[in-house]
Amino acid sequence: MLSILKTEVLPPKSCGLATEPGSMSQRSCVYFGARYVLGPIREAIHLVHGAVGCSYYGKMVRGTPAPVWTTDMEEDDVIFGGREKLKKALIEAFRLKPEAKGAFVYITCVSGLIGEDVTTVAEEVTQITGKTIKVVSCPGFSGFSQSKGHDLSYNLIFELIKPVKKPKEPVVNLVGEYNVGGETQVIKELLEKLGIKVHVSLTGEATWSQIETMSRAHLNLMFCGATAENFCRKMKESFSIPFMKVSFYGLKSTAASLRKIGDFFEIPEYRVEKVIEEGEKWALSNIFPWRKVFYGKKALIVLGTYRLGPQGKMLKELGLEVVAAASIFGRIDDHVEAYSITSRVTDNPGDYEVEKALTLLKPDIVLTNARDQWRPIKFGIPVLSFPQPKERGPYAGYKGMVNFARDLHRCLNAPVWRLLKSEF
Amino acid sequence: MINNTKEIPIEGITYKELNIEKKPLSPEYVPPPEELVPAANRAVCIDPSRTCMPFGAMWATLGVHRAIPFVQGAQGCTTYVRYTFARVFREPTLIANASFHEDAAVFGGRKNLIKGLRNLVCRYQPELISIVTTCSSEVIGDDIQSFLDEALEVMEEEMDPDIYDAVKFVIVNTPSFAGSHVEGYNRAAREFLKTLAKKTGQSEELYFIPGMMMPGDIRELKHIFELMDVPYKILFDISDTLDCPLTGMPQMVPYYPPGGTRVEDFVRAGNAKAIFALSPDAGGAGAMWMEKRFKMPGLIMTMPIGVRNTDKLVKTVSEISGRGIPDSLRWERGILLDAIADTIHYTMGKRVAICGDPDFVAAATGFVCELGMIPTYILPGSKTKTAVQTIKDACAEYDIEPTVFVDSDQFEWEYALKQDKPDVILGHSRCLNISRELQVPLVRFGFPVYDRVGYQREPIVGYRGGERFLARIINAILDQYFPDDRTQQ
Repeated sequence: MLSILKTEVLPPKSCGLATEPGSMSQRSCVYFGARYVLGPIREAIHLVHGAVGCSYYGKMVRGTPAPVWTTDMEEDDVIFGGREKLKKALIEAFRLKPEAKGAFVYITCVSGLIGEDVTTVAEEVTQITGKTIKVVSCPGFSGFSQSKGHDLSYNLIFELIKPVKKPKEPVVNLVGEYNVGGETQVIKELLEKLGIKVHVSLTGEATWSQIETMSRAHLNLMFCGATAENFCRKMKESFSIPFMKVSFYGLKSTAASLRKIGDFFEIPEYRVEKVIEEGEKWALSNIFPWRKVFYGKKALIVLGTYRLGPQGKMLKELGLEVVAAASIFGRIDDHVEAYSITSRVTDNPGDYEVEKALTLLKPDIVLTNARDQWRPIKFGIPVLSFPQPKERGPYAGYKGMVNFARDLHRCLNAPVWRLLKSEF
Repeated sequence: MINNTKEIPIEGITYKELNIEKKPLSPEYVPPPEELVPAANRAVCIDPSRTCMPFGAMWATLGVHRAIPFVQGAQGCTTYVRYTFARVFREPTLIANASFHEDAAVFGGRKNLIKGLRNLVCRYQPELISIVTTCSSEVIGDDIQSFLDEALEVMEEEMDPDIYDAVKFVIVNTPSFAGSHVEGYNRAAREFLKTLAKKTGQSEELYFIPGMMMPGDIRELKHIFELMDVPYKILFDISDTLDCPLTGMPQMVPYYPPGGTRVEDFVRAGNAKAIFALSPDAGGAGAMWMEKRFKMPGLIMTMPIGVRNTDKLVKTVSEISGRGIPDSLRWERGILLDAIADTIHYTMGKRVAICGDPDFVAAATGFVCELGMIPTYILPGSKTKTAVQTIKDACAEYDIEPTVFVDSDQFEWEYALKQDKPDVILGHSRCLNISRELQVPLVRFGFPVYDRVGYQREPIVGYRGGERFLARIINAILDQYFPDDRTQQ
């Protein structure tokens, strides 16, 4: 037998480092990140210039299908270049979907490596069709993880924005809100109660034309800092729209965020407090019967990066203890936030580290992403997976807190775990 | 809902009246320009029914005991595949990656491969690693064989010379810009046998390459061979690696599923009496190579879906192994025939459109013909050597001429369906949109089925599988066209 290297339980690693080859990392590629952010933008053609697989997989964005077309590069295109094919494909795409306002062309590993001049093709097609074409230069290898794809996409979105007049009533943009399980709707409803309108949710509910007129908002609400912080700064510089980091995960964060927003728009305090009080009362009365199940239970979090803090806080509010938190493509700010919840924080764990953590820390529940949710289950540990599918509903706002508690309760209290422990 | 209806008409409640929320996705449908409908006329590919080669090679590797695919490419090539496996099988999969970053694209993947293999061997102690290339490593022109030699030297120095015996390495070249996942499996089948198989004697065992069948299908195959008392080995056996019981905390970390074809079985493949490829396009190359190299009969069969296809397999296996066909198998055949006879009123003359991987589609066409259904539009997702001919042969017997879309995408197939609505669609989960749009029931089969639970455990091959598949088709028809069972009594 060969000797195994000694590994600590989730050895602390600085975030943002390159991945060690063969470490079974859960990180993904730059193209993945770009699709994650740009995928659901409507009124646009999404064309992948690359091998067929990239578009096949890229169709699934945050658990819901989003239409994506491809040039389906084959051997000949790789050898002789796919310029002509791309040009033809773009023109055809605009003929097939005349209502599209523009197109995103994704450069993948193949087209990136053969050095395809996509920008020139895009310009040529723009001259013919008169539509804007944005080139997303996201070959999979061009970054350490998907986070570069997020940055890149937000840069492109920023380029689309045009200066427009501001309306009288308060309008905000939600930036870095991905409408997982219908969360945008919940946030919209909450803001509606304060009389605030939402113009666009990037990119939970966004169309090409909504993005173009984004500058009509008075305030940008930044949700996922990892993906959207640079974008918000640039919006502030160019359109002098201030931004505010908010979070609607958990009762405390929701209340704090509502108060912050209320302050900004000078909404009378009693109105804000009324919304908070009503919401908290309703949520607590719903959660109360489940409290016993949560108390003192240990949770392990392995999620992207932004969710570490917010979801950890939600768990703490419900009475669970977070034994360790690991990000997949960590960012310093998120790690700092995570340290307020648990002392064990790391970045980019491989399957081996996760399994070690499962056996040594023995958590009662694991919060992880959908593609790795079945591993803890094989260890007999329930999993709450993210992004949650639609039928589980949103986790944001007061409604979300109840949904989250309900799902945790389901996971922890499912009879199957007792059956597993009982012997013949 | 039924209770709210005041009076039940004699012909039952139609689907519309049941008021099930199932709206067509695009009510304001604008037909596309006519000349852009055929995929051959288009440069843009819309909704391909296939993915890229590495996926097939990873699938094959996951059917081997303690084997890990090592993907020489960017991280997304693994993440997306892991996601797909997680969705289809609801099982964890170990798939490693070379984590190509910008430096690898510039200087080549040599360092990544050497480091990656070393890390993998140290931490996971696999019995086999398959090195799966991708578009990036193929475009760069990574010389995998020499990288591997170097990696072995590094590992020998660091650990001990046992490394040569402890871990086997198989290189599968799968440039993503050629072929499809089916071809990827095909290549993996050939490369595994090419690298590992040796002839040391002669055995009575029959070897089978199942192709991209589900765990339930493979179990059904095993059941048939056990009934026939034939000594057999199934290569790339995912039945106990991608469908495993929950037993609590595993004894050992890292967790490996208990099943999978053993590496020794691959090594002994040279001694086999014959080798069968049960999916011509996924595995055929492996059987052909074994025939050429070891002079054993290499038989390429249509997937055993339906009566005729299963008959053919059973007969051939019986002839080659010299074992008779047991009564128990005849009994199962009888049950399938009985099920078909019981339900002819639902199936006869029903028009059916089929979409999926070529092997599945070709075999299923034969089966629906046997049920008296009329296949209308057929889309084998990827390029295929045999499927089109198999479909033609199967339909010729019943005097049907379906339209087969060769080397096409779902867009063209869906357009044809919109012009000429079928009664049922047989396809994978990605046919859901068209099924909703046309309000036609979708019977899920093949790869991928991710929006239903348990389909990976339910066989569609063999006689018992045929009976299950038949029930699936009939129930879909019943759900849609006869939702009220009170009029059926």
